[in-house]
Amino acid sequence: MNTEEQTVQTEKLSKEAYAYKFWQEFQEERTVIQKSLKELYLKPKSKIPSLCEGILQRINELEKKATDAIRFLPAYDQRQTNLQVRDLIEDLIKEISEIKTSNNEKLQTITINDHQNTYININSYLNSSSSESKVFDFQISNLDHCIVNLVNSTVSIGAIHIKGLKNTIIMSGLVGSSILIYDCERCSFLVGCHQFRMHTSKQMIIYLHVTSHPIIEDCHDIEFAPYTLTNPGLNQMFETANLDQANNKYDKVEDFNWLRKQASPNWRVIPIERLRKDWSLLEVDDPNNITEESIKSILNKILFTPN
Amino acid sequence: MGLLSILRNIRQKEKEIRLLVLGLDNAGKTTILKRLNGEDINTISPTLGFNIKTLEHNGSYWRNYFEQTDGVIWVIDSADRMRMEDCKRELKALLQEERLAGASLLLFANKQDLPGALADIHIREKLELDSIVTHHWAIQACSAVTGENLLRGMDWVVEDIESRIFSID
Repeated sequence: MNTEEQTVQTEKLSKEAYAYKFWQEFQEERTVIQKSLKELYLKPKSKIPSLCEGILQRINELEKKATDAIRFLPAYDQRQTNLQVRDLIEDLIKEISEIKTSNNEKLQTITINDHQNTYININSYLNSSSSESKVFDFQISNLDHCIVNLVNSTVSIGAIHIKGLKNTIIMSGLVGSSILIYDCERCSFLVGCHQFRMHTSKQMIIYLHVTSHPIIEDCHDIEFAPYTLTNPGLNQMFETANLDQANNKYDKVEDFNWLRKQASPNWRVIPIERLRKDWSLLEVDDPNNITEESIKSILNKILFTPN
Repeated sequence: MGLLSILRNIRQKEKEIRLLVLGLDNAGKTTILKRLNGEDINTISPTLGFNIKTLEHNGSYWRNYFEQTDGVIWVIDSADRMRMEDCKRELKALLQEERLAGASLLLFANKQDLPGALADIHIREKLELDSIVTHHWAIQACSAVTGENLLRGMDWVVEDIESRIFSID
């Protein structure tokens, strides 16, 4: 064996040795990461975000090492390490979403969409066996001729996102942050919140308690009214939502399409003779037995009627 | 180290950086700024203008704002599941802006205090952040209301910019 052949031989050996050593270390670190993933759900909730970040960082480092080692690794090992890194990331994502859903007394979005001619009560979305108070966010979209009753004294609302409703009434308690509305037509909402934004909507009547200036953009035929829902526990609801009951700016609307000093033609305060204070007709004992006809008749009493 | 002290240190070195805070409406941009500045956040009214929509309609006015921008902070309403697609599209469009080439990108997955907030790891997927190769980026889950993790995000973006532009001298 001449010297040149020997060098090649040694190089090949050390390459193999390096690949072997790398593989061992890679698997060791992978096992450690898998173990910390499995134990994640045992940790205190407040620690979980930083733990997850730590794990993600370790995975990223592992991936980087594998990339650096590409020169030494046989093709099979390259593929395997790639796949294993990807699996780790997927496991991490799965673990996080499982932890989130297992904490669902605190972490939840209720989605209400694609209904027609229906009376929808929040109670049908709640787990009736539990009497604990809960916090939810709501995503409400694509409803026509519906009545949505979200009032429930054991439920606090984090935020409401609304899109694409027609001929629909939403009666809601008070929202801890903001309400965002897009693409609605001939609806009436009864809501309280810190911030109110409404875009691309028309023929709306908004009964509102809001502690900052409400805004409208690309809207017309909008009527604003003060929040007139009175039900037991209202004071408590204001407190829970951290809303100042004495501060209501429902009539300080800013129209983002109307920057002049004169009043915007796109909205007005509701005439006093039409200000509704009694909402009892929206309280239905048996939502399953209400006819389409009676839903329509309720809607026609409350919704916007063009003159 | 807080934002103000970071900025003060930079000033002492007679160096300034310029950050743009952008995002869809209702993302919490004003609340983040006020929180960082120690102002009251309880009665913030929605801000007129200076969002991506105005940007399209009113390009010439906005364009000046892109000049000499060292970093972009993109704010996301983590609970707004219905508009994640819009958010992705607007972000993509923004990153094509030539004057932002080389700017560091911090994504704030804001409103983590809300019950329906998506985790930063899901937002990373939904916004396809891993496909961003034109900018240094990082995503930070945070809550402007509780103040959680705002400074961590600011630390990252400031350090990333410093290492990029001040390492020359």
